[in-house]
Amino acid sequence: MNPLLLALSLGAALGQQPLEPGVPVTPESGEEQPLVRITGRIMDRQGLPLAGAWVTVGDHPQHTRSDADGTFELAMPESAGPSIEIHISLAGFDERIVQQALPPAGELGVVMRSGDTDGNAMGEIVVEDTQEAAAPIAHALDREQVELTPGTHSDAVRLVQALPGVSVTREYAPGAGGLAIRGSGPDEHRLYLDGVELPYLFHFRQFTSVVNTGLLEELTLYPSSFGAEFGDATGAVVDARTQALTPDKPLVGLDVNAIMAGGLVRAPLGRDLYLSASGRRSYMDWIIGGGSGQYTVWPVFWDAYARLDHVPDPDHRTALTALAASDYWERLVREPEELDPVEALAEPVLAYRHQYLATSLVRHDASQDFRSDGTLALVLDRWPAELQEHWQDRREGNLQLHQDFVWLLRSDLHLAAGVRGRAERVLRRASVDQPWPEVVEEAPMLARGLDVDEHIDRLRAGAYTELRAELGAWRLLPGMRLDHDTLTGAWSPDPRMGFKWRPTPEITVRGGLGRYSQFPSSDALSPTAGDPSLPAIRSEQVALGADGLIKGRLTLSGDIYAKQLREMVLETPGEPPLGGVEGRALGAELGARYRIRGVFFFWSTVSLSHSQRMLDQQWIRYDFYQPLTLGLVASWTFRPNWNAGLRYRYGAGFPYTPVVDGSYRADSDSYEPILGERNASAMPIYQKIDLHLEYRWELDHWRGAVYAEGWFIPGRANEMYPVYSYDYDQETFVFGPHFVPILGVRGELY
Amino acid sequence: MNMGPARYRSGSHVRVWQVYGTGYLRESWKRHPEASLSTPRANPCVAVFALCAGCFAPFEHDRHDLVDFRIIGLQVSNAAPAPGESLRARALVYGDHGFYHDALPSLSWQLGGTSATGPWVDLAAPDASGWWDLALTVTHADGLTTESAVLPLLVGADQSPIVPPRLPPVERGVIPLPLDSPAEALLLDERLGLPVSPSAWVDVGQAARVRLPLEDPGDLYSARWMTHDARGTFLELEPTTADWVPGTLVLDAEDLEVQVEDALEPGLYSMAVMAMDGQGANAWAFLDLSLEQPTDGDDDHAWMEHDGRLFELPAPAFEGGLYRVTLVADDASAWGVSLEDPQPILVDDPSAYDQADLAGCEHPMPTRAPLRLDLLAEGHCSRQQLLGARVTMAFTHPIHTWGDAR
Repeated sequence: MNPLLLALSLGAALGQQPLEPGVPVTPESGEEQPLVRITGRIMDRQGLPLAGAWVTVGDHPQHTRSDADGTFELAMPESAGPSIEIHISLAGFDERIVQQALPPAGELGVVMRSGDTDGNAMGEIVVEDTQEAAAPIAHALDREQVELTPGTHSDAVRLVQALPGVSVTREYAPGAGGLAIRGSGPDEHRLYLDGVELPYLFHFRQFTSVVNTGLLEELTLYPSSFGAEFGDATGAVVDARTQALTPDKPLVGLDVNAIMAGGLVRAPLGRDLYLSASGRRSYMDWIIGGGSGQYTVWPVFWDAYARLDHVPDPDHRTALTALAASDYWERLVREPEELDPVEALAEPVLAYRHQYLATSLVRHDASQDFRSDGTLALVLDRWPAELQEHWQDRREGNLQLHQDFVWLLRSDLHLAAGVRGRAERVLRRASVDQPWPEVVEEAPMLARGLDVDEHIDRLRAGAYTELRAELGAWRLLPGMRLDHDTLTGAWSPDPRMGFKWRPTPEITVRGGLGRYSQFPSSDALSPTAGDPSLPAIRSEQVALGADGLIKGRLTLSGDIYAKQLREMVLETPGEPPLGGVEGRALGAELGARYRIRGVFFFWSTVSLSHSQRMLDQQWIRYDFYQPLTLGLVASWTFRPNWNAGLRYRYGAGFPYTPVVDGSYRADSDSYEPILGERNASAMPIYQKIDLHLEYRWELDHWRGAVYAEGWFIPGRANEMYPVYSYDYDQETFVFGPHFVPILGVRGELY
Repeated sequence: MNMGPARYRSGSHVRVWQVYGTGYLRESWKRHPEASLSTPRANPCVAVFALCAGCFAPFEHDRHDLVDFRIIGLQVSNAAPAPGESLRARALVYGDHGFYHDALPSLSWQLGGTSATGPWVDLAAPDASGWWDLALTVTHADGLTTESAVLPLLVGADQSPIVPPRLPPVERGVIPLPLDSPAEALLLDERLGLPVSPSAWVDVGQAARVRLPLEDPGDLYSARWMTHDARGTFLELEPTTADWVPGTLVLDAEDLEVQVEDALEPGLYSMAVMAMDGQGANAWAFLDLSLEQPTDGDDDHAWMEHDGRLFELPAPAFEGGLYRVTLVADDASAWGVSLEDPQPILVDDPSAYDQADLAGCEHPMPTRAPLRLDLLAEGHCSRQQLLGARVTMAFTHPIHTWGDAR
C-alpha cells in the first residue's frame, strides 16, 4: 500500500482530517482563504529520504506525512502568519521544529537525527518498511535494538555478532571477540567509532568490548561490497556512532553486572555545552585478591569515555571525545598443571599490558543542501610486555582524519565526497634471546625471539566521491575511491557501484560491486620481523539482495555475495608474515524481520557460506569457515516496564588444525606438537540460547533497571577449544558451563 | 586462533598430577587467603564467573608416568661441539612393558647432512657454526609406531663443551607422609620440614624420598622422575630431590581432601630419573624402591643393587662384587628379566669376563665388561636375544640410602 495513502488512512483512523494541497480550507467562518504551498523533503543523516514522518504545524490542524521519497506538501492559509512552526516527528528520530516563513522562499530540507525511543507511545504503529538502511548492502541497528538485543551484555562487538552474515563464535573461547564476516577474518575488517579506528575493541581479545552499547546512537554493519566511503578494507566495515547527549539536567548513573562495574555522569554546562563521562572496571581482582594459580596478578581491565558536546542546534554539533582502555595481567608462562612444585616456584612470569587513549574532535554541520561530518583524532597506543630480563614494547601514535561531505544538488541528486588520512609512527622494540612461543598472543615479538629496535613512519590517505541519484524507482550510487600508502608505495584506485530498485513499494532489489584494497599492517611490513615487499591486498566483490514487505510488517530478505582476494597476508603470531595468499568466498543469506517500534522486534537469519584460502598450492578451508549459521533475535516489551528477549545462535564449528603427534625436545624435556593437515578438523556445532528479562522503573529524579539473563549452551556446544596431553598423544576439549546466569542493575539519578 | 593449551580444574576429583598445581594453588591461598581455591585460569573470561569454571577431563597420565612406547631421553657426548667434532649419541627408549624391548625398535639419527642408525652412533658435527638439530626417529618393531625427538646442538668454536654428567647412585630415604595426609601436608614448605630416615624400604605410613646427589655448584641440573607403569606418585621437592607416595592421590579441590586410589601392594617399584641442565647435558639412572621390607629367605641371601635396581642374591662373602647369573624372562619386572642361579665370582676369575652369550645381540655389546641392564633399554639387545644367557653382572651392597654419598 502506498505509504501516503496509509498515512492518510491512519490519520482518518485517528480522527484527524489531513489536508490536500491546493484545496482551500473552509474555516469555521465559512469563508475560503487563499493557501500557500509548503513543500519539503525529510532526510536522514546521510541525505537519504525518510518516509512516513509526521509533519504538523503549530496549533493548526493541518498535518501530513512524508512520501516514499521523503517529500511532503502542506497548504497553509496566508493568514497563518509571517512564519509558522513546522513539527516533524518520526519514531526513532529526534523531533524537529523548524521555523518556516510564509510564503516560503523554497523547498524546505530537514535532516533528522536518530534519537531515544523511550518517548514513543505504546501501541503506536509505525510503518517499519519505510525505514531504509542508507546503503544497499548494510545492516543498521538503532538505539532500541542496541539496548534490548539479548545476550550482548551491553557489548557493542557482540551486538555485531548478532547480525546476518557474521560468523558465530564460541563464547569466551579463543577468538570469541573476532569478527568473521562473509568469509573475511578479523584482520580484514575496519571498525570505526565516530570515524576513528581503535587499536583493539575487545578486552583480552575475547572478553568484553571496550565500547559500551550505552554510548551508541547507531551501529551499521557493511558486510561486503560497501560504497566508496570506506577503504583500506577487504572485509567488512562496522561504523558505530556515539550519541550526542544533550541532557537538560545533570544525571548520575551506576551499572553493575557479574563482570564489571561502572558509572556515568551527564550534565548541561550552559551555553549549549554538555558533558558526559563514563567508566567501567572489572572487579574480580578485588574479590580474588592478588593472584591465583596461573595468574600471579589477576586480570584487570577498564575503559573510560568522556565527551564534551557543543550543540547550538541540531544541525551544528561539535564534540570533543576521549576514549581510554587498559588491560593488564601477570601470569606464569607455562600453566601450573605442566609444572611440578619446584618448577612452579622458578617459572618465569609474563607481565602483559595493553592500553590506549583516543581523543577526537568531531564536527557535524548541516544545512538545507549541504552536510559535513568530520573527525580528527589522535590515538596513542602502548603494548609492553616483560618476561624476566626480556621485554618488548610496541608504541604507536597516529593522527586520523575522517571527513565527509554531502551536497544536495537536487532533491534527486546528491554528491558525496570525502577524504581519509592516517599518519602514524610505530615504535617496535624487543630485547630477547630466545623464542617464547607460550606468550605468542600477548607478546608476539617475544614469541619470535628476535631483537627489534625500529620505528616505522607511515601515511595512508584516501579520497572518494560518490554520486547518489534517484531515477524513478532506481537509486544509483556510482563511486570512485583512491587510496595511497607511503610504506608499500601502492596506489589503489577502486571503482564501486551500488544500486537500489523498488519496482513496487513492497519490493526492493539492491546490490553492490566493486574493487577493494587493503594495505598490510605496519608490523607485517617491518624490516626486521616482517616483509617490507608485501603489496597491497586486492579484492573484487559483488553482492545482490532483495527485500519484500508482507502485509506492511514482515520483511523477508535474501542476499547472495561473492568475493575473491589476492595478495593476502597470512599473519601467524610468532612467525614471519606470508604474502601472496589467494582467497575466495561466496554465500547466501535469508532473513526475516518484523518490528513494532517500542513494542517488539524480531529478526532471523540463515546463512550459507563457503570460504577458502590457497596454501601450498591447494584450496583449504578458511580458519573461519562456517558453512551454516542460524540466528534469531526477539525482544518484546510486554508491559510498560517489562522487557523480555530471546536470542538463539547456531553455527557449524570452525575448522582447526589437529595435532597428530608430539616431538620430544631433549634439551627442555618437553614436547612440540606435530600438526596435521591444516584445518582438517572442526569444532563441534555451537548453539547458544540467551534469555533476557528486564524491569525498568522511573520515580522522581531517578530511574533504574534490573535484569537477569540466562545463557544456555546445550550438548557439545560448550566445548571451547582442544587441549592435549603432555606428549600430544591425546586430545580433549576444554568445556564451559551449560548454563550461565547473569544479573545486573543500572540506576540513574537526575 | 592458537592460544596454546589451557587447562582447568573442576571442583570434583582430579588425578594426582593436579596435586602439584593444587598444592601450588593452596600455597597461594596461604599467602593470599582471599584467593579462589576452585579454579585456576587459563581463560580469565571464564574464571570470573564463579560457576563458569572451564574444565576438561584430565588426562590419565602425565610425563611422570611411563606406560607406553616412548623416548625418555637423548644424550650426546657434547651438546656444544666444535665444527666437525665427532660425537656419540644414545637414547633411552621405554618399551611396551618396561625398560626393555622384546623386539628391538629402529633408531635413525640425523645431524646436518649425516645420518646413522643404531642405539649408539657416532656422528660428525657440521662444519658450519650455529644451531643444528640432532634428530632421532625411533620406529617400533611393528613398523607402524614412530616417536621422534630433537636435541638442538650449538656448533661453534671457542666455547665450553656441554657434556653429560656422571650420575652418582640415587639415595633413598623415608619420610613420615601417610597416604591419607591432608592437602596442606603436601605443600613444599611442609614437606621440606619432614625428617628423612635412611632406608631402602618404605613402610606403611611412610613415603620415600629420593635424591640424585649431583655435584652441581652452579645449580644447573634438575631431575625428571618417572615411574614404571605409572605406579605411585612423585612430588618434586627440590631440583634433584623428590618424594614418592605409594599410591595414586586424588584431590577433592573443594574439600581439600586427599583420597588415595590404587594403594600399592608390598613389593618392588621401578623408576627412572633423568638429570637435565636445559642445554642438552642429559643423563639417566634407574632405581627400585621397595614397599615394605622384603622378607629375606634366610641369612644366606641379601638384597643387592645393580645400577639402582634391587635383586636378592646369595649373600656374598665380601662387599658387593661380581656375579654370574642366568637371565630369564620376567614380565612382572620393569627390567624384563630375573636373575637365576646367581654365583658370586672374584674379579680375577677368568670366567668373570666370559660374555660370549652377548654375541647374539643385534648391536655390539661390550663383551669384556660386566653386563649393564641399561643396554636393554637403550636398544642394544632385545630381551629375546638375552634370555638364557649366562652373563657377569656387577652389584653393590648395601643398598644406597640417604646420605651415603655425603
